[in-house]
Amino acid sequence: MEREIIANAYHHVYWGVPIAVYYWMAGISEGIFMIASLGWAFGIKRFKSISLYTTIIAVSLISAVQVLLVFDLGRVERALHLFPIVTGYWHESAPLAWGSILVFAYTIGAILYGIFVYLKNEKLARFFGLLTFPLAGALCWYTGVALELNPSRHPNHTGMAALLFFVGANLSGWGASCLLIWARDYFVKPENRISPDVILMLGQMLLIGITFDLFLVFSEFLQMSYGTAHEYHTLSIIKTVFKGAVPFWYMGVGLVIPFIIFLTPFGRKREGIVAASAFIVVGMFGMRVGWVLVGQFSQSFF
Amino acid sequence: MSKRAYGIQSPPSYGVEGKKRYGMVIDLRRCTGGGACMMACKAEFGTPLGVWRMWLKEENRGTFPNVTKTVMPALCNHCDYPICVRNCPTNATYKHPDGFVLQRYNRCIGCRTCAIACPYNARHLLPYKRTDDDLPTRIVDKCSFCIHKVSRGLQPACVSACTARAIIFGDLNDPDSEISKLISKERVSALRSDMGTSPMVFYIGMDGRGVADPDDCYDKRSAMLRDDFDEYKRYHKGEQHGDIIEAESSPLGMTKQLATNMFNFLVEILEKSGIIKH
Repeated sequence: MEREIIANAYHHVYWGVPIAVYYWMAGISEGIFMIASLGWAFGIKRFKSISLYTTIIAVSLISAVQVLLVFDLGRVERALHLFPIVTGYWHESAPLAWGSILVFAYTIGAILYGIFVYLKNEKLARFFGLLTFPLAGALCWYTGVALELNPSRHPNHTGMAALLFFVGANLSGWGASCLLIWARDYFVKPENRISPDVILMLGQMLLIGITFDLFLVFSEFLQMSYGTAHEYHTLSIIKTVFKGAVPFWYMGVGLVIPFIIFLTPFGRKREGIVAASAFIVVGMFGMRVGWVLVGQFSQSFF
Repeated sequence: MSKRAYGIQSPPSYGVEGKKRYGMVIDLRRCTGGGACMMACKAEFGTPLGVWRMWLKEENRGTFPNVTKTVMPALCNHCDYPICVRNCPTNATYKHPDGFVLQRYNRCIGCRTCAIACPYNARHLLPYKRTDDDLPTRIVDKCSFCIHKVSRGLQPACVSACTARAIIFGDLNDPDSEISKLISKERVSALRSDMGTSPMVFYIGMDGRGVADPDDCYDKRSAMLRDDFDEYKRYHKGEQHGDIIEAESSPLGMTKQLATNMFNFLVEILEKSGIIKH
């Protein structure tokens, strides 16, 4: 039967671009910290010289996103309601309630790790590195789960949410690490530069990560195209309204172009890896925009 | 009937003896699309421009000359297992033992997690400025089933205002109430019952599909509605900086919109910090 909807209330998208930026920057911070912890937490010597520098960047990013999150609230002055004990309002079944603690704990852990790396205290640096490493991973898990636990929002409501975020965060973080190392080497004396093996190793990790992410994206695409009417409707929105963010920025710029670079001889050189890293870091923002906005946009018409 | 109770303050009470469970039945056979319910609700609460506690969805069905118009009032369903209550990080939104899903204005931080969780678009963020300084601002609000009236033995504003008597409100657990008799006699359906929320707003005459169901809501909009929504988003930007204008969604257009939204948010940070005036 022919149907034409002629009137409805206009609904806004509630978590907008600031939240997508938070997801993006939190993921980059977590991925950078994964690299920063390799030196002193896991004892891989070639990463020791960049641990402090990358930890500082990771802490700066996660601190900036917390400012973003607080100012995104309607009532900035009530931000402390999110923490247990402070006001007694904390609600244990809410993903945001746990997420707030996780973000805060990761920040404190990373700061302490950085302090003990600076003081060259191996024992305490190792302790806080190993403590903060799973917190960083859990932060990725939480960013996926925060939207996953809403059955009404497709494509967020999938068990793959945490994995998609984990892979994306690590890809963007490792890519950012390559860029940071390359930038650092530009300013330091030749004898203090990082061994080229580090960037080559990161390049290999990025290639494996991109291949896995492409596989996950393909699985999601299959599931949505064979899925319910709602899932197919969301897929059609991704292909039309969000073609800029998801197919172009995320899949094209963030995954396919770096993948092609890595397959060429250029991708086995330092410059090629740095170029691919830049594409990955920028392209991952498209994934965050798609993840945060598409499900809400698709429901704004109901 | 929902058996799930994790994360909500009062367990589901529909069908539980000795407990009240307020609900609503909307008879679409009687609804004329007059809009008195929407207006009464707006007047009762001073709901700001652009947001609605209760609104009408309209569609035309059929091919000319055999066309019918369907009008469907929509509002918070005061679910028996409300995802919004479960996901609220500060217990600002809570479930009343009598079934109402209510908002504590002094606890809400305006994070909009409940608005994201709601499958029915029932919630909205209140703006900075209201017509009355005593009204709450910058927190999430929604229909409260007029608890302030119901607790005094009155009917909600929309029920009283409806000229067609299409909205019936009452205690679903009272077998002698009009609403219970209607539900037992008529064929009723609820919106998005697959969401697991156990909504307590029922519709008669929905013939199995609500207006703006997922498989129709995006593609079946009239061109005028689509353009109107785009125009609305151009000039009434939500304070959440997430509105995407469909007509400008090329890769370059999308990038511009994202950059503009982020820039507006950064300006809002300065406003919230008091560095510049709102």
